[in-house]
Amino acid sequence: MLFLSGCEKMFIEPPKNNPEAIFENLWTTFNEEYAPFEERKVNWDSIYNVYRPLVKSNTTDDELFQVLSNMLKVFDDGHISLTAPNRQVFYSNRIRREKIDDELFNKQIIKTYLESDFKTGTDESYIYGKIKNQNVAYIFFDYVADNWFVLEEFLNKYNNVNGYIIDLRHNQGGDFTYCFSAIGRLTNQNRYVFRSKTKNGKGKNEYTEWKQWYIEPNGNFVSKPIVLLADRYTISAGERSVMAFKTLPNVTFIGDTTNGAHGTMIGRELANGWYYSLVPQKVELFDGKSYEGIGLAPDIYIKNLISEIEQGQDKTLEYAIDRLK
Amino acid sequence: MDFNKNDFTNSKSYKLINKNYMRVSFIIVAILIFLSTATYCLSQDLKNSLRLQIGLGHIARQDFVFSPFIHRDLSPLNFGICYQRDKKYFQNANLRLALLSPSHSDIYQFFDDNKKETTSPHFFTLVDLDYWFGKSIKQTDKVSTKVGLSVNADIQALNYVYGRIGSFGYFSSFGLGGFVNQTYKFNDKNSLTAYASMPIISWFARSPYLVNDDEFIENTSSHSGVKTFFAFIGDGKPATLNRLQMVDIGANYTYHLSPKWDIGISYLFEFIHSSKPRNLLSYKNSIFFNTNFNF
Repeated sequence: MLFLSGCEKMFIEPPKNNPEAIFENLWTTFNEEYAPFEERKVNWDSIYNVYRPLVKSNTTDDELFQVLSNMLKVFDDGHISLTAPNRQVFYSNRIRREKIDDELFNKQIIKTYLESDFKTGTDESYIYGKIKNQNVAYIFFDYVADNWFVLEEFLNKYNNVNGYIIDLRHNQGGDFTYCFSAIGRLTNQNRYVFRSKTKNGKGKNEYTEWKQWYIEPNGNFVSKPIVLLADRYTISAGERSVMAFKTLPNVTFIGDTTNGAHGTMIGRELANGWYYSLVPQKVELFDGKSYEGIGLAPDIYIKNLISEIEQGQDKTLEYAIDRLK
Repeated sequence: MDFNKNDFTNSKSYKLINKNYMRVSFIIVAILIFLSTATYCLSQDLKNSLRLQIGLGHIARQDFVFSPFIHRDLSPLNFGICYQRDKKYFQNANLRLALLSPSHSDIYQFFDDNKKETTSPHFFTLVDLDYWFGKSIKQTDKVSTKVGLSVNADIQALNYVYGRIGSFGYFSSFGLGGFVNQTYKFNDKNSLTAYASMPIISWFARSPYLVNDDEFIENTSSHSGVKTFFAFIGDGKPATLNRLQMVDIGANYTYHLSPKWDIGISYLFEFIHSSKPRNLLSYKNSIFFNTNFNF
């Protein structure tokens, strides 16, 4: 019992479970741990002055969720979310929250462009096959993880095509190092992709050293033309994968600008059991610029129309096929 | 143990975490079981005992890398195996495994893109391997006191779950220190042993300041659980008592059924405190039911 009572006293007092303390805890955690304030043009101190007066000791859960959501909305960050009981997860990013143009990408329509022997991974983690009546191979990745290891099989199977379409539209992210490991055959030299640094202290300027990330040659080099597709739902590790492809001279990036949420994401919890996520990392592309909050723009901008999708057409994919046939 | 994951942006990534987590957990447990079994096999002699333990464990842990809150759990998934040899020298090899699901709040349902989801508690896999080598400094009919060197390996895989996303964390320490062990025989049937051990110097590795950074990501980039595990350990630093404080204090009550067999109950208190890169305080209380085989 002496051990127990002694140890309990050694714990640092956690944030209290009342509306005002919860607000303070969330605001302070962002203040100390969130990285891309400047990139997202968020003045966090002024945000405090706007939203703090809205929370009182008798603020209800509904009201608190609304205040916190509105406060997090200013980031418009695809990595920021707020989770609470019996509610929809709140996403700070407007595109993700309001599902803007979500329906302009449809995997069932994509399959109609492929020869019948196309392959899919578990839960459609990848889809690949040859485009009907064309000497062009297509592969889609739903997220970035070990599903990318199928790229080797894909390149081997379609080694006589004119070119490849690599579709990262609606890519949900994951772990970019899987992509970096998998695309070694697509480069014949080390190519600098981006650098990143992560917060390692509470101060505004407390970060780790910048770390530069490269893709490296690995295996039989493939130099065929590649069309890379992405859209506003291509996020996080999906975007870092786009960054890697942008270093390759034989790649044309077609589609829409990516989401613009690049840094790694971590989870946090509040005293009332709610969860939220934030970004403790800054990322700069090989050109020395940050595209956090901006997104990576395509070389050729094309966006499907809902009328085309309703007719079973994916004009972005058709454009990519035309480039390679 | 997901020694392979860094950038979790969706539930599919989280499923991948669990897959790798279980794979590496299995590898580590298999290695440790192998080591303890090897110790057992190499020491076939008289005055040996093998103890199997199963019992309840309660953890309270506050790790600011992951959360400012105190996470608690009471779990029946606590196992131990202990080989002891008491001849000219006293040797004790002890392997313990605990699976815990601590949380600071209740489980609840939420909706992600209109799909009903349920929160989960965090999930910790704690593995301890201790080896003591010492000798008796006091031996009477009633009391036996032993002291010596202790070597300990403490490996913890920490799977923190925050609703729709998860983060992997780790703690490992390989320490060298000392132990003291005192046994009091009430009579021919009943005895009580109390002990304490503490590492003085350790090789110590922990998750970075904010869960994952570039070094963490680089360590996972081999996509091999074993390589990642050793990369994490390789990133560690030597630590003395000013950086890492750990202590185990325990007691075993033993009832001698026969020359070959004993049963008993034991209590173990495990304490960890570290302030770098962020404050960690963890203590665990376990009660085990023991069966001893003497040979």
